[in-house]
Amino acid sequence: MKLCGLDWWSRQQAIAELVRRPKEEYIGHLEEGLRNHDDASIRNVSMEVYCALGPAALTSLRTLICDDDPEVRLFTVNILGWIGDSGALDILSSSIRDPDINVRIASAESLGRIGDPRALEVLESALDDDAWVAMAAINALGNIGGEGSLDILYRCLGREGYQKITINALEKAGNRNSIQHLASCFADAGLRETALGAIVRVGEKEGVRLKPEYFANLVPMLVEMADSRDPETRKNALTALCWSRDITGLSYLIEAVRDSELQEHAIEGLLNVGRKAVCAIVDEMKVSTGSHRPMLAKLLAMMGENKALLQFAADQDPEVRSEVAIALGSVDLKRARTALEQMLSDPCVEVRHAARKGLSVFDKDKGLKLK
Amino acid sequence: MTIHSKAELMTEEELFCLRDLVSEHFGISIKGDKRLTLHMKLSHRLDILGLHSYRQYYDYIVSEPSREELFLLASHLSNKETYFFREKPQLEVFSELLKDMKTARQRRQERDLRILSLASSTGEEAYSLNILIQENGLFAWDWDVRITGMDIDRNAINTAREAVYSKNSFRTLNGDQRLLDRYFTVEEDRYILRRSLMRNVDFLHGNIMDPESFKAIEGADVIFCRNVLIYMSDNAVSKLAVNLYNCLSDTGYLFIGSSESLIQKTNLFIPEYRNGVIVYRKNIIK
Repeated sequence: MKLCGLDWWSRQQAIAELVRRPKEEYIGHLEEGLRNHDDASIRNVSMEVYCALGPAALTSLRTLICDDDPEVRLFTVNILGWIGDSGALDILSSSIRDPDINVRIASAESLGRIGDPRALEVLESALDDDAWVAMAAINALGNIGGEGSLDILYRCLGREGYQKITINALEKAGNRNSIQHLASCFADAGLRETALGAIVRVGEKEGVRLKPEYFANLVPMLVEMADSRDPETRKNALTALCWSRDITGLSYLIEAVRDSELQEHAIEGLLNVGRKAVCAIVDEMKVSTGSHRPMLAKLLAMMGENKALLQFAADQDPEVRSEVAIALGSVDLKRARTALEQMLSDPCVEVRHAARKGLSVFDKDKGLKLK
Repeated sequence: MTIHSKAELMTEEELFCLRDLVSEHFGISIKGDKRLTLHMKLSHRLDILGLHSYRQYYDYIVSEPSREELFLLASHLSNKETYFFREKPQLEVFSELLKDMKTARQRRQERDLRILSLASSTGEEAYSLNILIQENGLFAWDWDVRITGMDIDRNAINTAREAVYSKNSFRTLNGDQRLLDRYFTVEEDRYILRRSLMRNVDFLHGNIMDPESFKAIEGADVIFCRNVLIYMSDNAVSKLAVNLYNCLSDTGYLFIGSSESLIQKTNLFIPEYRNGVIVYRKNIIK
């Protein structure tokens, strides 16, 4: 095997040239190479050439899967997975019942790599095998995905000792319907954080707002997890709280507006909570300092609470004053106009511009009425 | 109020336009779908300018010759959070370095010290450094010590020049009343920096990604550029590193945020470990 001495780049080029030639010229060498116990580099190169051959290698691999040596069978099922061709399904469906456990595990993994849903039945039968084979099968089901896989995975959630790996599989394959199944794992404190991570990933992957009902029973636990020492758990809990629209988590949502990583979810969560959040936002603006306050002011404006912003017309932060000035334009109070007039001489140019804009809106909409 | 779709506020295309704009000019990296956040920070600009969409806002920014709106955009998107004596271990190392710098300068019969505080925001870092220099007492007589802050936000610069702060700017002082009494006058809930500490500190409006902004500053002995790199792509960090390299004196020191690193991002600087803190020195290529 001259290919063994070459560097990676040269080897890839040489392999590409080799597989363009009729395979009968070298397939015997590949089979021998895979059976070679003395030189790992020869085996590795043989495997690389088989992978490069793709589906054209299947005939030879069918021979090798019957080899007496379990290592040869193990390499064969790995190669079949890397090739990823559905033509290997029947080979792997047999090898998943191989006497050697490593071959069975690798067969399950390879079926997952191929990703063909026709393998679901075989994988489901492997769930009753040794624990390692069952876990490889669960992982493979996660890789295959689809409704069929999900149904099997939901059932796996009830199997003692397999829940964590099933949650990880559902994180990969799950859709919005998986949320309620994952939520059922919250009852077990040892699974709660993993399940929450999976729920958040599925929610983000789906790119849709998850229904608040999904989280209705989880809010107390989410609030508990929002205090976790683990930043990832904290982030996941806050993200789920944002989706929950539940006011129990309001203080956490407001706090999350300060965090650039959570901001987007927190804003969405507060908008979802809506007017029930107004008092808490106003209180936060009164007592806190920091760059999140202009966003809180904007949130109040978006919630239609422009009158509430009047009390912040002389705020220390010019960005808050700008938001207030814009909002006051639509407040039907003489005090609002007075505040806007005072803001025309604000030291910050942006506030002055905002006040001018606010006044023009005010006079256009309500000026005559006040006069 | 429920936003049924983020696209009601800003389309994906508008997000990409604004994201690319701030990335290109300021190195600020906006990751993921941050449309709500951007809307919170920018919608008042649309109101003030009388624009109806972020597409119009983008067109306005790129067509405006003065680039004022471009700077305003960046200033609204940048993080202004800062406070006095932030990341104390780094400041302790800075105080230690002052002795070395004084010795080196005396040897060369020089009596000036130039310090740069980049992304200076409202000035807390620049004034913290000045307080440390005063506390140190090494540069008390006949020394020309100048600290320059630079930021893209004109409002922040104005606040820095006024040097009037709220309690929020002292969140890590842990009740060190001595420093407050010595360097600030307290009026109600306002902390007014003593004017003597402002004389040798100035603030410039500039973009740290633009070499032009550094034209007036050369040979800085110390540069503080902390908690900036975390908001940047690796490509932007490499560009910024060139500006920092050109601006720092050959014997100077660069401080970046303790959670930031230049390792494997540029070969222009060499890390040096001092009391558990990484300080960067110029990699002098001969």
